Amino acid sequence: MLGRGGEAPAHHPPSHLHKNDAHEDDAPLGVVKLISAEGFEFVVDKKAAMVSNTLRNMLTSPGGFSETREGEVRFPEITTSILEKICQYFYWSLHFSRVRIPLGTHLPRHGVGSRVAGKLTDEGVVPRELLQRPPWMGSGSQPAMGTASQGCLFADSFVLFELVVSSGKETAEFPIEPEITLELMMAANYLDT
Amino acid sequence: MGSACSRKRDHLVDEDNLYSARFSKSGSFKWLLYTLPRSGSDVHRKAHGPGPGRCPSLVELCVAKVREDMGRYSDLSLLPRDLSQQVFNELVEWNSLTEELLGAFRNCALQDICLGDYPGVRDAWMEVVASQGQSLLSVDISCSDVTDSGLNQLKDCVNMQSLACNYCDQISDHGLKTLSGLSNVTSLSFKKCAAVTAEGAKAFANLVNLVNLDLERCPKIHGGLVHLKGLRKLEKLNLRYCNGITDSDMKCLSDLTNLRDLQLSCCKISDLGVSYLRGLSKLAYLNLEGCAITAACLEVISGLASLVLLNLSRCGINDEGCENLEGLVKLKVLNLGFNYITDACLVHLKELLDLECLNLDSCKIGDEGLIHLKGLLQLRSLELSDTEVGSNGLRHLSGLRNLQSINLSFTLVKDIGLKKISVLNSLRSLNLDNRQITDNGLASLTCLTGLTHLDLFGARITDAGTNCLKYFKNLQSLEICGGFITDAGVKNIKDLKALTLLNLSQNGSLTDKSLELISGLTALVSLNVSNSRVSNSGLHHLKPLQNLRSLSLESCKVTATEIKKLQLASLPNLVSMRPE
Repeated sequence: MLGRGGEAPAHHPPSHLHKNDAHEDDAPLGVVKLISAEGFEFVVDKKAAMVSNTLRNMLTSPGGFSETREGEVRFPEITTSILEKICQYFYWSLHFSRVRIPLGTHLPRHGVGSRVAGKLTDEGVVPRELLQRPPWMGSGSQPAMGTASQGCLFADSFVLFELVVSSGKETAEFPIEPEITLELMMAANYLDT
Repeated sequence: MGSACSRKRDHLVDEDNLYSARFSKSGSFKWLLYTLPRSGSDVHRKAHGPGPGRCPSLVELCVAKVREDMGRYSDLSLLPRDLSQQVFNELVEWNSLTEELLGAFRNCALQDICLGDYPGVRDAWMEVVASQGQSLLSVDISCSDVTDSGLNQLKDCVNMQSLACNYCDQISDHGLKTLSGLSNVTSLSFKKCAAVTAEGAKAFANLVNLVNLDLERCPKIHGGLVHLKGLRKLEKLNLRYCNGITDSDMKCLSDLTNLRDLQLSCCKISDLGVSYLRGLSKLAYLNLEGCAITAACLEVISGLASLVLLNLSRCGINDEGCENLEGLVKLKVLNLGFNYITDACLVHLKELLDLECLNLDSCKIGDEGLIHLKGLLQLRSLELSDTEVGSNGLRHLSGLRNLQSINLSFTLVKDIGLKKISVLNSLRSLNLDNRQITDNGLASLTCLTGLTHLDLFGARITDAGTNCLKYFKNLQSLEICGGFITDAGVKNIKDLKALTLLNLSQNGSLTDKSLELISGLTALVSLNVSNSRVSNSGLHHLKPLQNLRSLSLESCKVTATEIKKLQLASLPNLVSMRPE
């Protein structure tokens, strides 16, 4: 597996995100980093993360959880593939509920590290669609990459949103692969989502 | 994650459901269960149904996925209990659980096994049911073929709180012995069970924590109630239609002073039997419908000061003794239907100011008596069907502003009387099944715009009268069967989009054009256009009625074959068809 999240500094969000974070008590602005058992980091909109009641409690409890301050939550019992699926569900759920996703307001500039993502794809972890660069980046700009040891994966809202709506249906079914159903169900139960 | 995932017990048994229509099905209707979802899954409705419903949770989506792929799983015992419970419930709800799939739930520590009315349940299932062991809190195997040996497997499930074995005709009094070890049971239901005999009921004596006991329709129960004497926690006892219960059995109930709800409809008891209830001061609900008692026993009943509901329907009571009703000031529901009482009885009701529902169906009452109801301002429902009440009497009801339902079918009320009730703005349900009601009467009711149910079955309403129906936009059910409606009249019905039940039978002039007009009423669940000129060639108009479950076209030019074709091709929810 790729690097452990704890061994190297993870990707730092752009500075404007910190500004947003300053207001997080007022509104679910900004992003939060979800770290899988293997150390992979998924950076998702807080609004998406708060589809999970467990995460919502963590992120909104005043002064309680360290996660609230650090903007990252570790899941030592949730594997990367499951956590990724859960992140996809967060965005699917937002779309389902017709909550407008604030596209482009704080999209991470570093996107998906191609080396990292390529490897992940070889392992069948990341859906091919997730690797598509968002159109706003322009064809000439290469996404900056995290190092392999960082294992930093951005599941940014734009890409995932595309994933959901690309089915062409108003409310596409959320696909669940039979191989992961039980593990996903347990993780979803833990996250209360 | 493991047990950390187990947060809640979602599906506690709803005690009220134990006594609901769910168990009213007899085994002979099991075939229906194969063809219909038990209640439809939330996930299905929410994820695939129309409109912006609530988003299904990921857990719900996973549970639905497990159901779809259940054949892949042979052992779910490593799942947290609340999840395996949800999967189990989902399979049951979708009629997807089979004897083969059940094995995956062995040792899952399930708390609730609700298989009431579920097809195919038999002894072979009980080993897996019993494997839940001390986790098991509630079991429902109603309508199953489980026998004594199957029931006996539950003997070690000592934490059981609720057990329902209604209509289990393979269980004998010998099998009931299993129950004696289940002393934590608080709710027990053995409807129509021949095992409940004087001998079989011995097992009940150990169930000292019993709060609810349902023995409705147990035919051999005579002599068995003696074993209930020590059940001091018993609050709810249902003995409806136990026609073996006699006065001597009633004596055994006299010490059950915690009883709050006692159902004795159609038991063979007399005033003597009722006399044994004298000390049951907590009794709030008493149902004596169809018992051969007289008004003399009202003296005993008048001492039951906590009574909220009293059902004395079909008891053959006359006025003498009815003065004892005066003291029952907490009564909210009083059913005196089908008795010999007259206006003289009604004077004793005038101080029952909390009354919300009063049933005087087929009593010998007339206009004069209704004056005593004038002050019953909490009345929500008043049943006056088949009485001698006429137009004059209705003036006494004009002030009953909370009245939501009134039945004036087969009374002497004429058009002119309806003006008196036209001020009852709370009315939702109005029954005017009465040949003396015409278009003029209906025209005086147009301000009752909140009506949801209007029964004009035998009223002489013509096409002209149907113009008034446009004021009743909220109607959910409508019956106009007086014979005078033509296709032109149905034009005034086609915009009542909330209708779920429409009965236009006996209107011999209706043609296929009416079916075309009705085709936009897509909420319809039940449609009756019998005795009309509707034909096979009009049936295609019904295709949009996707919610239709009952269709009656008797004595029309319609064949069973064509209705069947329509059902197969377009109306999957249709379960009742005439002709068939």
